[in-house]
Amino acid sequence: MAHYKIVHTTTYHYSSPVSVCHNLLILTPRESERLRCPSHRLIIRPTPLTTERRSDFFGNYVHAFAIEELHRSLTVTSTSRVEIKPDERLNGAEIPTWEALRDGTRQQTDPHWLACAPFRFNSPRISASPKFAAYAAPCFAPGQPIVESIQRLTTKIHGEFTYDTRATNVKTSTEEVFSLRRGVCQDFAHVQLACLRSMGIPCRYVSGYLRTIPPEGQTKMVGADESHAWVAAYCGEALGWIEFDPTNDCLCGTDHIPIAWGRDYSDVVPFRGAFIGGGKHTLSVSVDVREHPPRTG
Amino acid sequence: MMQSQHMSGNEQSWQGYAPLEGVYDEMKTADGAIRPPWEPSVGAFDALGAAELQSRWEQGEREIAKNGISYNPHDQEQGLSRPWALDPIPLVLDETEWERIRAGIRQRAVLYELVLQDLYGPQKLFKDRILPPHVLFAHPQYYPAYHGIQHADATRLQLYAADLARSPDGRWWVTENRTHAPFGLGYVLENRVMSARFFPKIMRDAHIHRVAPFFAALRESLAELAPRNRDNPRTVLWSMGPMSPTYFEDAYLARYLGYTLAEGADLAVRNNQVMLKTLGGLLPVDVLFRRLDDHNCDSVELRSDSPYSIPGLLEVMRSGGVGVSNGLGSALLEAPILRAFEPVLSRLLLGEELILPTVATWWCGDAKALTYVVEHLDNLLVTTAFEGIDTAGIRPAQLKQADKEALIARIKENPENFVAQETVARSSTPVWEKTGPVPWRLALRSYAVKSKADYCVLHGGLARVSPDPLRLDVAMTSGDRSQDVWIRTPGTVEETTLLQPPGATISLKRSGRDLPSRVCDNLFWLGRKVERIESAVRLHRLATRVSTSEYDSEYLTRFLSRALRGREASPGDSVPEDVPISLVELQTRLEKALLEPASTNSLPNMVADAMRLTYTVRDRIAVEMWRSVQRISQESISLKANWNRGDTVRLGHLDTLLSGLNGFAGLTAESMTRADGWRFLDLGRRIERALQGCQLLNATLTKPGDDESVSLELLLEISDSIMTYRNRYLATLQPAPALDLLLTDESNPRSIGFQLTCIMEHITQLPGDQHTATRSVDNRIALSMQNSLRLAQVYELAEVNRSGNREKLHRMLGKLGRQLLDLSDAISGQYLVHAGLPRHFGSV
Repeated sequence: MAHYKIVHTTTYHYSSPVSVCHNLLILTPRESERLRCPSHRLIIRPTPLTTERRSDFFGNYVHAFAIEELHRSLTVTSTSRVEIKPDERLNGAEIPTWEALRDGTRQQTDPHWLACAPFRFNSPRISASPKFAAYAAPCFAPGQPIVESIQRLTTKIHGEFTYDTRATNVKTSTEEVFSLRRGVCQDFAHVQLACLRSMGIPCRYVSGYLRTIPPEGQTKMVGADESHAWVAAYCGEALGWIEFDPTNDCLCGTDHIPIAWGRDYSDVVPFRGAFIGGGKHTLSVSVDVREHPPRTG
Repeated sequence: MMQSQHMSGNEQSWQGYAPLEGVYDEMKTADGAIRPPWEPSVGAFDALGAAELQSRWEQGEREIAKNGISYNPHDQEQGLSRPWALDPIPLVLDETEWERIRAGIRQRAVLYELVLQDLYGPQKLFKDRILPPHVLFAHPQYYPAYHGIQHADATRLQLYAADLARSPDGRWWVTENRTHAPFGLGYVLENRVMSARFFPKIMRDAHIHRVAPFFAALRESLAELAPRNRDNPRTVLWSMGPMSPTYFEDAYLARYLGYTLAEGADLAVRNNQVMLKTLGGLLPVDVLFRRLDDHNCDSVELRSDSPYSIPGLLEVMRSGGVGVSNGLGSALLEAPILRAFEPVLSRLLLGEELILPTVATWWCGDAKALTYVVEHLDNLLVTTAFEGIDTAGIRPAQLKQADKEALIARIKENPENFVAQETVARSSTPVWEKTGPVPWRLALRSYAVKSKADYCVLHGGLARVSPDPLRLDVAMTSGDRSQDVWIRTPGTVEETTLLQPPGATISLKRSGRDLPSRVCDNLFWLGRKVERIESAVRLHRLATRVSTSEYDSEYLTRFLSRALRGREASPGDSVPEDVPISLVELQTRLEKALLEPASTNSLPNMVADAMRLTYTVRDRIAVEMWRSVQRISQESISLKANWNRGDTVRLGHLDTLLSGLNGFAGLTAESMTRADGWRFLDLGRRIERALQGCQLLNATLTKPGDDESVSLELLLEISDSIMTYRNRYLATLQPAPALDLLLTDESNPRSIGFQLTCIMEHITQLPGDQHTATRSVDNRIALSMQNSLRLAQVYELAEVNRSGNREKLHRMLGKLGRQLLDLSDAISGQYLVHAGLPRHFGSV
């Protein structure tokens, strides 16, 4: 079991005042069998009159707020304590073939076919196509277990795509990333999703944090961590959704802390909204993920 | 067309109407008899005679043009604003037949409401494998945010419409469903108004069901959505604005239903309520009658680049703060894929067969359906599974073999994305073609509105007709026509009109401050534009009038070229030295200034702007004012066309144009209530007139030259003040008295001083100024201008310095001009641009 304290601060500075803004936040870690979030605190400055908390269609925690006083900056600090258990589902489990998985969810024989349905089709940032299917096909040998196939694909993307923070931005299309063969975690995840959907495998985009281990002999810098993104694919009734990280070529364990999932990035944007006024705006984000033993006594 | 031109005789034209081969004809049976419900009307049309019918109809079309209900200046040339022209002949149905349609439409509305409740609720239809999950999750316009906005059992479908086609055996088939914001009700009203106006007796004698009860039910149904003030909710018709093809109908409906017409930019979320931005402040909105696509409604949670949205709306809807019709997410049911499942859904959810069957439809995502479709391709119409509406389908029978094979390959590669359906050989119905009726093909749209626990179906409908049946498969097509639909009743006609709501006492109110700020902004600019047009017309009228007069041509050309330059300069610009030019050269320059297409200040462009502005405020001003702007527009077109036909002709047009402008001013003064709208229109006009005055005086008086008498006379002439001057001072033309009359005399409606007095008066009356101790910016500017003018010494201003200039006058006019522009900005900033357009976080 790993214990973390995560501080995620987002600040917008505006060159001229903003008179009103409406925002949605997805910053609260999502609880599951493996993950517990005993405390989560959200501090918004300037303080909104009301903040509504609810669950979205996918079950993620959403906070909605509006600020109706003039402001020149907006800061949201999200502080979470998280406990996460290692994923032991793959130990000795019987794993279905990828074809069985694909056909079971498509032909509605898999008991979870309906829960998989939102994650099978195209979504705003993902369009299945023969191009992606052709790229993925060599990893999906006939009769191969699903997890192994997806791991091969994860390795392939990791090997053939260059991690490059300047090649793309948050709006770059998955098709463009695919032809550039470059990008960041969001782009890697989108490419993998496009491949999996093209192969008929239900899959989702997971946004969250990654614990980074500082180079040996150096102390960890506060705020050096980042928001991270990876994918989860449905691997049958027994296994459920298994998480893969194409940026780091690994299965996700206790270093990966999920916040939310959806069909692609557009469903889980951490900070979205509309504002009036503001002139030019600058954004600064800092994320700090720290191992934090549970409080005693 | 079977109908030939020579049948001009009355009797023959209707008797000789020859239906098309192989299809059902609405009016005539196969053996040539007139169907019973048509008999009295056909008899009456016959008795009226072709010539009389045609002449009445031409009168009707003129009426439409005059009222501007058919006009959208943005696409004057393409004519897209009006997908359907009107046709004088109605479609006539008898009550028995209608009863079946009514029952069928009602049944479908009930069915679709149940489907919506399930899809955005328990999803039993998916769980029980009745519908494939594609219906939602593969739909390109699906947003997960559609779930959980409304309570599971809340009504989502206030308004429903279906498109019908009649097959050769006389049966009606449903070809399309309209579930989000059914289009066409404005045309239903317009058609009915026109029928009633031009065939009052024929209509009365035919015992036609009224359409008004439906609209009363619509109002009630929308009122029930209100979270508060249910007896008198503030309802806003939420339009996409004048650029949208539905704007005509939006404005028409808003006016008829008594709703405020507003665009996304007029609405905002504040304190978890939807607010209408008005001059008097923000007013809470209870119900939104939306006329735009679901995904455009909220840029925070739905399509983020929607310019029509109300950011934050979904959050308000979740807390029940506003009613929205139809519910969000309802548009997805228009997808062709649903039609493949309608018979099953009806059996399952209602335990009934569909009263009005759907044309047979196959969704290729089903393996058996795919096989059938490929085998019977030539008899089918192929569309995409999700976006069939408003896009024409493919008719494989018309394809070459290679293209057909390519289509089959495309379908097989992605069968879930395709739907194929049978087509109906649509019926024909008589349409008026100048001398007689001819058969065109028919599509009938029928509407239902939620009424208490049930649905009320419109006793009538929208008939769309076209000589080409394929055009009717696409919802919006130019070049087609629409017809009124007469449902004949043997009984008495129920009398309802929306104009007198039953039983209610209307509370008195003085037209108030619920005017959207945007409307005031447009009125303000309309005022400025019209005045700018007027000053241009005055200059050219003078130039045309005096070009052949006894004036010395040197002085004349000097004055005119100075005045022209004044219009193009900025306030405070120094006046350049005169360069002598010939009269011919001056004429070219004048013509260029007035008619140059590239210049924003040319007459055609200014008039087009004025038309556009008038169009956007059309539901706020008297019809006569709209007509008056239209006349100005027409006259400016003839002026341009006849520019080179000699001074007399040109002068005639300029005079007519000026009297048109005077007419507009008169209507402003006489027919607008003295509310904020009028104030902003007049404020725009006064600011522009003062500004034009400053520019003209600066250009023509600050470098007087040797002999000023011609300049002064022309200046007084162009400023419409020569009579007053002569009455006061007889014939002696001197600069100081002229300056007094044009600048400082507050009793002369053409003087700058008079404009400033009006401006001051308006500004003190604007909302929000009364309770603050300090003066607002606009107030300070206006006061400063008024004071400096009142304190000015006319004789000092008239003094010429050693270099031959009136430096003091030049400085004063420059300052006034700049202040006027500042004032215009200050007014915009304070009252009009309440808020800019919303922007979006580029997100993290």
